[in-house]
Amino acid sequence: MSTSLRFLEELLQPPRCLVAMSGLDVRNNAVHRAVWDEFTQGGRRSERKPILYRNMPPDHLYPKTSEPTNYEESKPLGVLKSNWLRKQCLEVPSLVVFFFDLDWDESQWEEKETECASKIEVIRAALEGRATEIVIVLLQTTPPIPVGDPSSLTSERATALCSLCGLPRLNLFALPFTDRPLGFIIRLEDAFYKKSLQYYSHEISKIKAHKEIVMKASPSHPLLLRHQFKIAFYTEMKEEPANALKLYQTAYNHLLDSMFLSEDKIMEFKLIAGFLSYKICQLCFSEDEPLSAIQQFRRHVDRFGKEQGTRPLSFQHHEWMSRQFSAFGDIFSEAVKRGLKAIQTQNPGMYYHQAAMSAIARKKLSHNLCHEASITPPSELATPPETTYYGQRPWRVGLTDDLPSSKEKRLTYIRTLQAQEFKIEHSWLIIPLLSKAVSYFKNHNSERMISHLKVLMGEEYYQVKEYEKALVLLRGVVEVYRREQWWKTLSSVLQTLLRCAYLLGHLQDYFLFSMELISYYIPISTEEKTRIQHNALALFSGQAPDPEPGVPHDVQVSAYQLWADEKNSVQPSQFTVQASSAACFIECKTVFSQSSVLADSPIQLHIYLRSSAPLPVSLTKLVVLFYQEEYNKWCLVGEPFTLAPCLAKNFAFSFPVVQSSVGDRLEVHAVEAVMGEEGGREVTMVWSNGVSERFTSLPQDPAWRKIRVRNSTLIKPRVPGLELGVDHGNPALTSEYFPLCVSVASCEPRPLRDLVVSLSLTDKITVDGKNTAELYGAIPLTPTAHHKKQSLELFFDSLDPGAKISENVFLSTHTIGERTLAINASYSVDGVVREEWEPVTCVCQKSFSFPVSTVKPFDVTYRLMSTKFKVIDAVSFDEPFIWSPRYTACRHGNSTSTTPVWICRLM
Amino acid sequence: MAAVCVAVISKQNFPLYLRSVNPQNEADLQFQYLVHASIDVVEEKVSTLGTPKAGQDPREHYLGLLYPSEQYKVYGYATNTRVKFILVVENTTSQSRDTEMKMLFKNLHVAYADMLCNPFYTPGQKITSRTFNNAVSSIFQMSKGFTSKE
Repeated sequence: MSTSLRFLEELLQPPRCLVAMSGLDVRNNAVHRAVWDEFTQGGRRSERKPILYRNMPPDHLYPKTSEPTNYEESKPLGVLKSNWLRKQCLEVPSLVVFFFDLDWDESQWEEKETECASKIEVIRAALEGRATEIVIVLLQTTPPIPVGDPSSLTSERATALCSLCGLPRLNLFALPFTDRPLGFIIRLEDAFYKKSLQYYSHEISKIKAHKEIVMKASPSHPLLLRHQFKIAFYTEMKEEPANALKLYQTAYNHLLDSMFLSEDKIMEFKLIAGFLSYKICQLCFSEDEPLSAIQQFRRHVDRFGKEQGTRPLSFQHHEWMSRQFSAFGDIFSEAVKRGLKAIQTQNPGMYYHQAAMSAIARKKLSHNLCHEASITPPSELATPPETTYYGQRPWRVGLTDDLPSSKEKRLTYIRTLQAQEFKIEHSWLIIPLLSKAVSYFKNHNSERMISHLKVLMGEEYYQVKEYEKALVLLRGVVEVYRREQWWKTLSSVLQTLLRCAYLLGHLQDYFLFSMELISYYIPISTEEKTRIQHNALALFSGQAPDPEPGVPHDVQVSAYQLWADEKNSVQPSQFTVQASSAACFIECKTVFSQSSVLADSPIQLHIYLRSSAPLPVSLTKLVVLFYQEEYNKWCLVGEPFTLAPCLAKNFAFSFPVVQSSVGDRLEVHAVEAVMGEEGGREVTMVWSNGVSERFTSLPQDPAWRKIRVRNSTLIKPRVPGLELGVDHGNPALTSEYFPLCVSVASCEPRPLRDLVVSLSLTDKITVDGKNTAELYGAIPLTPTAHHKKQSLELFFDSLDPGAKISENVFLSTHTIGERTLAINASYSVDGVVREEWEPVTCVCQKSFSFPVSTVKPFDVTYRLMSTKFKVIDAVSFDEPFIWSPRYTACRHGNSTSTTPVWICRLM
Repeated sequence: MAAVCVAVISKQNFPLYLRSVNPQNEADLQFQYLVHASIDVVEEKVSTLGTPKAGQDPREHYLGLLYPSEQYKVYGYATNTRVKFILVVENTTSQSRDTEMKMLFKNLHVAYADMLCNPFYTPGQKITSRTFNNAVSSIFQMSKGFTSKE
């Protein structure tokens, strides 16, 4: 229907010269088929010309030319005939090529010649009144005649054929169909193209002549626009984009100047303006001037965006707007595919988004305006007549601009259009636009814009009852709005989701969305929250929830059925929801009383739960899970309990340390609360790490805010009740068995068990790979490797409270210097954490290190002196001298020395 | 040019304040979506804000036009602490001048700074101050004045 506001197929693609091929029997003749294929799909695309070939039979009837118009007096009925573009692109050829099988040495030449001439005559008759030329291509089986061999027969026959057909000699070609016809094909195509261009130039000059006449008659004659459009279109067909662009721009400006936006004519001008603007933008992009294209488009929509036209048909304006944006998006994205760089604020996605927004506006309007017409559609004139002009109002058919419209006709047609409009499922027009927009915004780091588009898409899917798709789409965006705490948008998304979950009978999703909707953060009314909570609570008593308000009646029935099936299913419904990642109505905080705890003292843990829902909530179970699983048995509330609205409930747990975890950090892995009865519907809400997400943008209850979360505590070892000592008379002497007296005294109230005292040399000094110090349990008679130890352990079975024991060990060192020894005592003792608990066996340790220095036992020096006590360095034979050794013993820091005197003589 | 919506957004992109001219209108929710979607562009522009370009004041807070849409134009402004102000303006054919927009934002910034001086206000929480609300009302008024001048 030509009243459609769609962009025409012929307009969307850059136009190509139309050449008709005649006389080719592509179905039955293999050679003809090959020729056709070579022309239409042959190789060497870069050398080929922009020609559209159409195969037409020789007796094809081409469109008739219209009667010559008297331009001075004519009163046009519209701007542009609605079949003109199609005619130029597909029906009126610029050239007709007649193919004919004929060799120069054909034996029955004359008969063939006549047959050819008669067919040419038929074609010529069909093209009467048009400037379209005809050429003949003779398909020949013999190889071409070598150049420079003027065969008299060939030339004679060619001339004869041309004169018989009434064609100039230049319009006759021969195509010897050999193995490699491509060279010939390309040469032929060049010739065709030239002739095509001639045709279009001729058409242009013809229209220009008309234009001159019209201009003389009146410079604002309505026909001028038509002429300008046609000239520009032909120029574009001629592959002169720069010229065509200028001509289209002139035409567009002329349109802006000359248009009159009466209710009857507005759509016509808008449609043509859209065509012109589309062409201008398309050419700007292809001429690599994207900014001009964008500018032109902005100017276009700014100018026409406000021209809504007649109110009852204002949906048409939005349809038109939507088509403008989407078409611009298409050419923009074509340009991007060719290598244009789009940016975040200027990319095709924006235009698709706007197209979708206009389509949404159209939908709203058509709902409002067309409802009535759809109930009582006009019976007569049910289909508007084919209009002969683009954008012509159906009630204006056959009327010139100066004639008034028939009021009655007009109303009827408006109602018809409204009734037609009402039948359209708009969502299916909107969704593809939005999904195109999403695909472009994905390249530009625009997560939030994508979320917005997805929300719009989800709502459209909801309206066309594709609840599953809506659910999937919207569920994806919830996180984006929640993370940035846009509660209003989140609540609107969640409400749609809740309706989808209800209609699909999804129990788990239904609970999940309700859980968030009734929380403190969601800005909806308390009544609404109460209603939602009421429904959610009803789930646990096995009932189906009440339908959500606003849900269409026809789908409610199937929803009832779904909920009834769910209720009757044999499987108990159990599921887990992550409450910590959502804005759940129950918040949880975990607090260990201390940041660290000793192994023999109780661990104290508080779990706080607070519900912000309007009604009290009953829970059946509470479990605290730790990363150290052995603690899991301690924190469990098996009794049902109730959370009052906005009141924090504290669960205090106290439990002993598991000794294997001493030294570790005890951490809460999750807190789980269960709603519902076992065997029926049961929901486990899980708070990972025992903490709800903190949403700070809203003020919180001060009492709740004051509770500081501490979800881990360090378990420290028990303080040992033991006195440990080492007695020794530092320093030791080299090679001495230096005694060390180890003493242990218990201060524990209970007997110690498994007492082990270990002593070790911490710094290993070696000389030539051998240790220079060893420890001995007892002094060996002959020290063997077996006795030498770097560390020693003394085992004591048990030690009673208050008892004291001591034992000697020995250290032997071979070099002087200081060494560090470490002593460590470890034992087990039963600790009582609480009277009512079993005593725990704690392992305690006490250790310290101490230095031992090693000195030489004594030093010997001597002096030689003469008998007169004079120090000498050499002695003579047989002469007495004095030898005076000096012994120095080093212990306890102070040295004692003796210096005896000997009188000697060497003999 | 008439401003129809004012929003203050925290550093973490939480909405601290969002008010449209007609709060009861259903378009209110549309503004929420519109302002939220425009944060994408704000983020992009803010990320290049610290790097001084030739001929650009490194202390410039005004981010310019974020999204031109059929109905509205969205403008942005970012303070040094990356609190963002968003102004949604009705899209009329007359070009809104940057100097006027800057002036509106400047006024908003001053009102925000005054509001922040209140010791009872916790930064990062919803703005409920009446004085600030009045300041926003006067910005709505002022923007209408610009229209009449044109």
